[in-house]
Amino acid sequence: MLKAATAPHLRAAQRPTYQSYGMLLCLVPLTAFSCLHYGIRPLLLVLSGILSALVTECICGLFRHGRPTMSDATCTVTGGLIGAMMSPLAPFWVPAIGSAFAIGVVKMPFGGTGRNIFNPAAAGMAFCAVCFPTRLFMYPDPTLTDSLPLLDTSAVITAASPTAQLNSGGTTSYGWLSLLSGDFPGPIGSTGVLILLACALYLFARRSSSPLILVPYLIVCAIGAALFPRASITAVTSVSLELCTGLLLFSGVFLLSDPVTAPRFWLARILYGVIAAILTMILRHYGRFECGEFFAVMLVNSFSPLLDRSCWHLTALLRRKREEVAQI
Amino acid sequence: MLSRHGTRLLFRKEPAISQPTQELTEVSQVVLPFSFATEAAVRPAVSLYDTVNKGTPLAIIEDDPLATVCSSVTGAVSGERQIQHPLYGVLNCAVIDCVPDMPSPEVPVPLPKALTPDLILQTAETADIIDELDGVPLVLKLHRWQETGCDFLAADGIEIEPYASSAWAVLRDHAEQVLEGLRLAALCIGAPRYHIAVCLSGQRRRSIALRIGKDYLYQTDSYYPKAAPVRYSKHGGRGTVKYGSRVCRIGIQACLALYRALYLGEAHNRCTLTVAGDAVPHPQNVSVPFGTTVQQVLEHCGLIEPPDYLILGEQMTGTAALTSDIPILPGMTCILAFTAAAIKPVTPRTCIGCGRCVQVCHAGLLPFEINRRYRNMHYERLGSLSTHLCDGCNACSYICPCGIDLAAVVREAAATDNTISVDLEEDDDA
Repeated sequence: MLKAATAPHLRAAQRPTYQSYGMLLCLVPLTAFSCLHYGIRPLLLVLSGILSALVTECICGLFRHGRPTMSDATCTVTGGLIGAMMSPLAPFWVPAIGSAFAIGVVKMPFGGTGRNIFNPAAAGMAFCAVCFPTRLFMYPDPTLTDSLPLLDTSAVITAASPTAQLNSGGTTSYGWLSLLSGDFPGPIGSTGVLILLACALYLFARRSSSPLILVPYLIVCAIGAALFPRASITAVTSVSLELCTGLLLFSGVFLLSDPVTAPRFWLARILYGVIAAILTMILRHYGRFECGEFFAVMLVNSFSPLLDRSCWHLTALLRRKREEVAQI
Repeated sequence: MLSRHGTRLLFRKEPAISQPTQELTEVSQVVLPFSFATEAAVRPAVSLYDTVNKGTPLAIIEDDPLATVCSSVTGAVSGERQIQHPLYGVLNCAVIDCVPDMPSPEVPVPLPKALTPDLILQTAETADIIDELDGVPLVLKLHRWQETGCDFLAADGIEIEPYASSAWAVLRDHAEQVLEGLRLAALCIGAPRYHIAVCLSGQRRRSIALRIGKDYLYQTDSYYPKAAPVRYSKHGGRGTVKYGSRVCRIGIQACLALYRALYLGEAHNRCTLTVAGDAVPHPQNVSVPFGTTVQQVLEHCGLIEPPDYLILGEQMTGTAALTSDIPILPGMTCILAFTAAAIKPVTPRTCIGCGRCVQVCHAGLLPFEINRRYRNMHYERLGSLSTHLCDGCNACSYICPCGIDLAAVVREAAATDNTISVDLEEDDDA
């Protein structure tokens, strides 16, 4: 008995979890790099975020569908990203609360995966930054710390991050070598600059992320840093410090390229990256927090549908005009 | 792999393309429609137990003579049947029991002194040539192109979809004749330039280029569906066509049929088609007379038990058939038979907004946005998304990781556009 079917009869092998697994894989070397400096604590922070996200998604799924829904692994990525944006000194409950907020308030009430307006990880991080700023932006000195204690971190020697030093208008002593080797205070996932770049290339190669967002974002940030340095330093130093420190590169690689909240049209993606970069640099100059990238991501998320539609209409109009000219 | 406006499909033409083309000569029975794609009144010209020869018209259609179907075999009419064909709808058919033909050597017909456009048109009409690209009689297409003018004629042997390789097989066996047929068609419509567009691997392309000259062979893009038979450029330099030029497409088998009709006096009564799929024990390209049933072809390829899925056409755009007792008619170039293990039903999930559908859409649409508006019943906002530009390539449905049949949604949205208007405010008030 022959069966009915509709074309296309065979489909591409990729599944929705393809992109999530790619991102999770990228978080592994970043966390491992941080563990080399600070011991097992960064790993536990990331796991705390993941666990909280999974539990929250299960609870929300039970409320919405009567069964747990975490088959697409996006909540794991959200939790992992929030954990990776934390300071190694942050208490374990901070990423847990951030992940719970991201899933329970920003993602699931809007309908779950694919329907959220804002990037859940950025929103969770913004929530933590507003509620617990002192616990979020206090970093251990990597040159003086071997392994962080798991619970009582009061005795750990802390240091101001390069972004905090720039924010206060002072100068920093971090050169290219320390920036590339990750020997500077910063969030768990953002100090491994070379690893972040490798992750970006890996995500581009497997088409999980688009260079049309990241490249304009980095270029405009670099131009902003060169033209408007936050301290009395040379343009080259300003560019290197702005791009390599804080969460700028991390948010460019992981948050801006979130497939749900980023635009899909090529021109819209370029503009999205440019607007995100402008907002990031404005927040770095005038923002209250030393890392305001997640606020920039949330702000630019709201432009995404508008950018998609307007750019598509613009290109459709240009194409029609070109065809008319060709026919004449 | 994705590219802008296209995706690379898996290559599944092996082993069919490596096998020599088999000619199916011992056909016991053919089923041929009295008429083909016409609404004019049809008067059968043969009745039960009549003997028919190759080329005998099966019906008389005074209002639309081009819709007349001629017998592709010699035999006796043993009955009449009405068939629900998945591609051509309801067809009234004559069942002809075949008599083995006496093998006759190919005798070249004396060529006229000059091959004029009118003579080529007349030959295309008398030989009953139908273009396999769209199932339209070649004479109609040539006549239309004569009227509208044509700057470039491209023979389409691209075969970008995974399984079909019939055009490649015809080119491999008869490249010189295909080129000559193309030249004659170009002469007929006054096209100054022509070439054969293919998407072949290096070795196969080189062997054909050696025979016909590389200037007549154009290698297309290998991404589905943006592979086009010509490349446009601003000035229309070597190997390219100027923007705004009128480009016409003709099938490889139609070119060969035109050559054979003019030089050998043969009518177009056979076609070459690919039989493949995981249920087929011996995938191959087969040359069969029109009217041969799909069942006979499948049996020839070693398939005894019926498969779970039978697809007329290719993986991306083919139509599923619910019976194998249907005739092969002009325009069919591929038959796929699959087991249930190969075609797994997909459960659609919520769109994750990855944007792959936008990247592969060569019409430049936003399938995810159309899907969202259609699902949310924002029918009045569909008009601005140009849904009518969709040509049904199904690339968006193929690439969607969530298993959403976006192409079907776009088609439904195009049909719905401007026909339903939902006043949401009024609904809210109610």
